[in-house]
Amino acid sequence: MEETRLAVYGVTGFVVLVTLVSGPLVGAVDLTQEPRGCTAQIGSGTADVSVESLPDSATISKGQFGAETYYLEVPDGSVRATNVSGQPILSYTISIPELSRSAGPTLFLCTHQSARQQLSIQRLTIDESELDADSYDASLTLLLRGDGEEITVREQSITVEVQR
Amino acid sequence: MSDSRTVSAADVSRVVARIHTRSVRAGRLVVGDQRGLALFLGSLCYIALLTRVGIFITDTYTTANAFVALTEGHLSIERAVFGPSLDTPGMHVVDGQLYGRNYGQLVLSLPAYWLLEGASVVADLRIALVAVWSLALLWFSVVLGRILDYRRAFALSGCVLALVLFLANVAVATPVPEAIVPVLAMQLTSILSGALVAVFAYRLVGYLATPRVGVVAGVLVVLGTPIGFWAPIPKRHVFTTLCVLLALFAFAKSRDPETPRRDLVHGGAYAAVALLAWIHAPEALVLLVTLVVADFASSPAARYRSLPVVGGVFVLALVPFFLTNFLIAGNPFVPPRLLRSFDIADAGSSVVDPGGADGDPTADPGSGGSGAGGGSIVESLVGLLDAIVTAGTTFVRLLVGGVETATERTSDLYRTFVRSGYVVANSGASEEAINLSVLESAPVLGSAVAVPLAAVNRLRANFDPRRLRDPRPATALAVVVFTALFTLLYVERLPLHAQVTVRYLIPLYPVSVVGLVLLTPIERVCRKETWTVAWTVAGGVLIGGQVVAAFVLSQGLALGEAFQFHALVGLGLAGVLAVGATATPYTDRFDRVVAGAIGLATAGTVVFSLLVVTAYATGLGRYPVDGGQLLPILRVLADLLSAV
Repeated sequence: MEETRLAVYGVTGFVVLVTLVSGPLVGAVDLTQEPRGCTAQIGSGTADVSVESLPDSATISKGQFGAETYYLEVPDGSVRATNVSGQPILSYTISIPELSRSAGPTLFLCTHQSARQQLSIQRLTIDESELDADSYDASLTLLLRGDGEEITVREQSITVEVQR
Repeated sequence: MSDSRTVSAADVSRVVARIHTRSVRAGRLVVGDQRGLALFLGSLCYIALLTRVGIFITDTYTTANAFVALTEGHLSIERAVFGPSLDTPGMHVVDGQLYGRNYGQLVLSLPAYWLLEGASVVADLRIALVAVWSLALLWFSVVLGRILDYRRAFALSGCVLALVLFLANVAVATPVPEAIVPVLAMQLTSILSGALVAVFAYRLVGYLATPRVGVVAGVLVVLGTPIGFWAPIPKRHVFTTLCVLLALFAFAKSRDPETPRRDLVHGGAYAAVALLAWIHAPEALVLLVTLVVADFASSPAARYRSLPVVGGVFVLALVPFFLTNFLIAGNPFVPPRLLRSFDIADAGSSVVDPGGADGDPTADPGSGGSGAGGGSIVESLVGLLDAIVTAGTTFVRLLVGGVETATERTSDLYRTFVRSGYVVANSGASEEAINLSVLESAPVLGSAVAVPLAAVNRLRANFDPRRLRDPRPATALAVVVFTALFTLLYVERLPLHAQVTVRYLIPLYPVSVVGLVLLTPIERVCRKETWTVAWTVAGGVLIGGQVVAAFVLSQGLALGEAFQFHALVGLGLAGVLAVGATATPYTDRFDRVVAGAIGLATAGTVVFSLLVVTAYATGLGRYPVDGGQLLPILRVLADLLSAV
């Protein structure tokens, strides 16, 4: 029984001690660090971006399990970003003018990341009532923004097929 | 010299001993006994797992900004600390000054804020939170060992678990953004209320049935209903649920002549109504009507002697509510929800992402601005009359609308309670099908099919109105009345978007669990097959959880698809349970099967809740105000498991 008590008090004491020692009053050690080392001003600097692959088609299909809404699904693409300075912004967008919808991620490039960047677009929900055609023309755009200027890395058109 | 030193040492130890006895006594007042303590600590640890720090629905901007104003010592909101502007849903305006709502919840959250501010002086907040969580886990397993009489094994494994999880969390800890601390304080208070909901479900059922069944009820409430899901989200729903359970518990105790200080306890039930009014007045009206009806039906004539005490406690408990109203509207009887809304477009709130709106069904725009009165007594009385009339007519209108909905719009009812699927959003924007029905959210309520069967059985056996004077039938009556009125209050506007698990009806989940145990042979199942329930919950979460997670992750489902998949699984489990439950009033041969079905239904809700905080965390809103998962290991897990 005594050793059980010892273990409980020991663990409690240790946890409290670590908490206090790492606190601002003692400040012996900082245990919480921001995970990324990217601290440069967002939108500053520049980079060399080359396209590895971009999808040439996308689909709009109905959700499963009674989810009913339609989802735009774009296969992943990828780019290589080299010679990164600062933290320039890379935006990747698919836009479908006929549906007046667009979607896509914004990436903040920085030297601490790997050069290869995955380009994936979260599935966009589209209401069935909006879909009146079997396919739509869409465009993929890769824009790099840094140091106040905007460079179009790539712009290409793709076809979005509706699967009913 | 040495003599005085001995005296002072004895003084210190005496003071320490007194503080210890006092805090033990205070603790016992809240959690009741060792089982209640275990349930409290266990629920706390579980809900903390499900916690993400941040704002998830736009009208929380309003309450969070109101809370910041409160921490600075004033009621009116001066700046938008959170959110894009002050034009957020639920913002009210009086004479050009802006005010929030749900002030009861905000005032109750103040101690947590001061505690966090104090803790941040001596400790890194994230480390402190992780430390508290680890120690709560350790304490939980020590108490569990005491209850199950395996002290050594539980204490030692608790030590190892707490230590390992503490170190793992510290290894991947990130700082808590300083700006989010007010929101975190609101969340911690809400988490505390969530754990207390489980405790009071246990104490209520434990008191009316047996402690063992009470524990099962408490566990079902925290694991098998969306209480765990909503407790970390700083909205009113879990607070209002706690008020309801407090009222029911006090009411149940007040039926028993043996209860010490019976009149005060009876008044306590009405004090819970007053507290609820401070948070959300229309819901308090439902609870008040419930209590009055149940009181009338179950009190012998002699009980009316206690009326002055009960009324006195009620009025006293209403003072903070009246005071807040007076300070804001200049009239003690006009709560913020009856004031003119600030939002020009009157658009209603929305889940930050994905879009949707929180047009509060109980807000009554028709009576806007009635509160800008002066301070004289006559005007106050006119205000009181006005408030009573407004509240009364709104209440009746909502109930009538509810009855109409229930009889005419059965498909909406079906979508709210049974099968959700895709609901076209009122806002017109396309939304993911992420709003589950009541049964899909809490499959354990599938056993409700046994209620009418058991009722017929019991009424045929013996019906004597005088039996209503006993605590158990009286409380069962209160549960039934509350469930009916509360459903009618909201059902007209349901199904709504931005609900996820029918959050407007959150108080109904624990109340239904209590009702099921009181009204149906589920009580017998829980008593006889306690361990079957326990082991199927554990097995369902550990094995079933992995199967579900593997499926969801491998299929690359979109958020709406994943939610609807869980909905179908939940519905299936509810169906199995419902079939089993129909047999329970007639035979106990299938009790083990029913217990297994209860366990699996509960596990289904746990798996869904755990996946929401990990696999679906990025899909269900990328929040502008976000401090990430409360526990760092869950953040890492979420990064690994991200499914949508």
